Amino acid sequence: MDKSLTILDPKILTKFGNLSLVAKTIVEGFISGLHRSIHKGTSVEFVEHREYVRGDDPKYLDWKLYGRTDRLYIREFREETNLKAYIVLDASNSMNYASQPQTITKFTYAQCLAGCLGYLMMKQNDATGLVVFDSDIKSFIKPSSTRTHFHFLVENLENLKPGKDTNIGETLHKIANHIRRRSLIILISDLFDEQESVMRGLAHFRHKHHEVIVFHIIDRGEMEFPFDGFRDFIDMETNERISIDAPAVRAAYQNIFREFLSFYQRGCSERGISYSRALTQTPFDYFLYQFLELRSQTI
Amino acid sequence: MGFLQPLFLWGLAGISVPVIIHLFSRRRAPAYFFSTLRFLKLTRRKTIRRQKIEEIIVLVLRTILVACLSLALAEPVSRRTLLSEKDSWVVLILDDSCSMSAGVQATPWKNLQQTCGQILSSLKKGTHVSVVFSSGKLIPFSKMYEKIAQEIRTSQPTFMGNTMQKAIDRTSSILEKKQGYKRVFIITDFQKSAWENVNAENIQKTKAEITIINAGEDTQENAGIKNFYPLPGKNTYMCEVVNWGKKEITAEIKFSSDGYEITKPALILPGKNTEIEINLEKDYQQVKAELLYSDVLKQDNVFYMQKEATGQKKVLLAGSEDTSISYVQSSVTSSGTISVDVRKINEMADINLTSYRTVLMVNPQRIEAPFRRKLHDYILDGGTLVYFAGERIAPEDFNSDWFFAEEKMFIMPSKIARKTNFPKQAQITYVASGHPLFAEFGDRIFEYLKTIRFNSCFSTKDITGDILMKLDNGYPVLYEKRIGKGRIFLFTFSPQQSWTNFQKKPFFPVMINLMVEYFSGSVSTALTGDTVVIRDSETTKSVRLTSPEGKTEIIKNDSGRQITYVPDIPVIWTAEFSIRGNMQKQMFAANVPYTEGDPSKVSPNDLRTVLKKIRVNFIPKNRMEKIISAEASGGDLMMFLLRVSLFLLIAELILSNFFVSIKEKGIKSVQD
Repeated sequence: MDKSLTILDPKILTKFGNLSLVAKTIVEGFISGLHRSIHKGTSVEFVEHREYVRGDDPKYLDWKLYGRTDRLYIREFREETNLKAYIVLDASNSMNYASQPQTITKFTYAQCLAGCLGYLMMKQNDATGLVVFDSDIKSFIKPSSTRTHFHFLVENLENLKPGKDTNIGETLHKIANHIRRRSLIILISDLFDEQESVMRGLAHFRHKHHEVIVFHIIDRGEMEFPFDGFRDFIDMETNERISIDAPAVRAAYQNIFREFLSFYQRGCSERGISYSRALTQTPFDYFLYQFLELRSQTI
Repeated sequence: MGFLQPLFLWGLAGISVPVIIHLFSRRRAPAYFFSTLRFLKLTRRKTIRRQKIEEIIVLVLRTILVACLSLALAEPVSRRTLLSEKDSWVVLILDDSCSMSAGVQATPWKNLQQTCGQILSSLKKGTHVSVVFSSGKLIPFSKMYEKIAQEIRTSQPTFMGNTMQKAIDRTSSILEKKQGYKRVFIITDFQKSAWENVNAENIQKTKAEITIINAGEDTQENAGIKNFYPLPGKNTYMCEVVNWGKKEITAEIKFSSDGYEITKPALILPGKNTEIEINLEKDYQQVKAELLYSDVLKQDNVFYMQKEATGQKKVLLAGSEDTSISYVQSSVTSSGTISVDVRKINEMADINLTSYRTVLMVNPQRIEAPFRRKLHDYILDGGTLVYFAGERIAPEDFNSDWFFAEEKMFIMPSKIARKTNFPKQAQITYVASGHPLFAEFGDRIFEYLKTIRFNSCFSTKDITGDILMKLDNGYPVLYEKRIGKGRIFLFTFSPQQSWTNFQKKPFFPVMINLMVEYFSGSVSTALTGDTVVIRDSETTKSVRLTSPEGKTEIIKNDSGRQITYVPDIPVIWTAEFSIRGNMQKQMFAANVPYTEGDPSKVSPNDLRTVLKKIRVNFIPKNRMEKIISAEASGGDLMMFLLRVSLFLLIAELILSNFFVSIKEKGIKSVQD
């Protein structure tokens, strides 16, 4: 098995308990696993040499190289700008679900992922903020790129507990109205709400020229519905109860759930929103790659 | 039904076990917290009905299984087995109508004889057996089965129509006072016409178990002569042939009388009457019509016609005491061959209508209900009513009086709305020229009618009869309606000067005579099995009846009423008797009812409707083992129930596993 995958396995990582440590472990491990990182964290960065052509500024000539090769080369740099990013985390009670006792809940997974993203962004001098919501906005932390801010952000994340029911669509509109400057919005949620309403909320971000990335967190049990026998299913958010013979409804459930997933995938694609779906067993580096790719496009 | 081990019937309480398990298992479902029920709610709608059906199927199977096991262990026995042998009474009702001989090689009658043999051999000793033939013949209760079987073997189907009602009523009366187990086997060809309107109330009271056995052959092609009668005009006759099958038939019809013989080819279309007109060389009093066609029933291919003797026709004339009645009376008597009895309406209650071939009513006052009923029966039996409407008739009375609620039938050809006086005199411009009443006259009919004028007539509504005459202003003045075997002619006017001058014109007596001569009693024809009244025989001591084959029967008159006779073979019968020293001779033709040739069958479902509230077993043709199983002992019944239980158990196991496998298939597909 790949070493990085073992290290980044959420099931193992969450046993450490300290989110700050977990985030650091994951991100450092992830970065060391990359062959060559272009993200050095400097504001002006050398990229490559090219041959001098008439009209180029002579101050960028590389005289040392001229001394060795007797040919004129120009040094090229790329300037990086600081990114403002908001991690929008769903803390509704449906996120507190794990289908197996040995797996982590969707919320724990989301916490870790948020921590990792926060650490990664701090390492790259990006300003990171955090918005936590359930049926409404629970906390709103403005972005900053300092180490102190990162610790504050992690402390907030650690103290979170999923609670009420969901109202994702409405809440996204509120958040979109709060954020004025063009930013990167990272939504981490199971998206269990009225689908059209959620999609309208995401479209609101795009309307305000934000870049949006959706990390759709799903438990394997939710997707496959592998339950046996006749059971009383109780909604974790509303406490509503339904008696159902699970094997009898499985095929129909799977079809409906597939439609639900493809709705978001299709909807996000149509609106230029990056959409990543993962089960709670998926290693975190999957999301970190997704994030870095989008970041590079955004800058 | 009884039980040798009734204690095991407590096991029936076990039926509640699967029900309780069903209900209890539903409440024991474990609770499970799930992130959202959003998707489950959508799936539930689709699957909840199927789940319920599966549960109910398994529940029902388990319940019946428990019930069958309990009943089997209780050792059921039939009631007959529980009773002593002397208390068992079995009646065989045998359909020996003419249709039972229909067939080429296998006939329903042969099937019936074979079935009877099997039933008699399967009966336990000591059972009382009686046989009731639908023709009226009876073998009283006896334990000598071989003798009964011998009698059935030597019997033949009659020429009569099916009188299943009489046989059922007779069976009811002989079983009525018997105590013990009663069982009736009805062996019949299921002919549809025989079972229409059968009333089973009496046999229901006997509480007998009824088994109906189909001895009939499959539907086959058949044709027969429905009627043969003289038409107005010299030597002209009409032969009506009916084809019960689905194919056209090309056949010849032979007409013979007194050494004279003529054959005419005919194309007989399926599903309706084919009318064949024939001219014979002279006016024969007796004619035998014979359809030369080989089909399953020969008896209905022959029809005998006997004209009524001159001087025998008698009509009844009733109505108001005015000139109108005298016009009609003089019209009827003008031929010299018809005698008329003139009565007042209030004198008619005691009159026996069967003595008259036609009843003429001219502008009558309102008629009492009992006489209306009598007239109704008379018409249905073949009588003719000629009715002139006049001032004495109140339309609302007329329209309500002639509606018979029991039969839900208005018998008159139309209802009367009101009297209409025409602003200018009207003429007859339409005549149903094809009708036998007018056919003789051809186009010349309007020459006879052109001087007739009408001042008024009744307007009519709700027409159910045929219009025979119509005026230039559109008002019909003569209707005809056929009901049962008889018919009604309704004139919408009174033969009086204030209404019309029709009664004064020469065509009027001709028309009235044709009505009486040719539509009422011009022939003396009866059906085998029907009751024939020997007219004017009230005063004679005895009547001698003879058939051409030499069959002779003497009927004595002890009651002082007209003698009646039921002809049993289709021939021309001669009745001879003396009145005050003068020898009288009456002849009448008897024919097989044409409906006996109808091969259509009644369905078991229709029979169940007829025999409502009676438990009936139906045994299809050639399934005699079913009869034997119906006679099965208690042990057989127990074995049967045990077999059913075993079957249910296997069915329950297979179905339960099938339902589980469907569910497991879903689980496996996920795990894979």
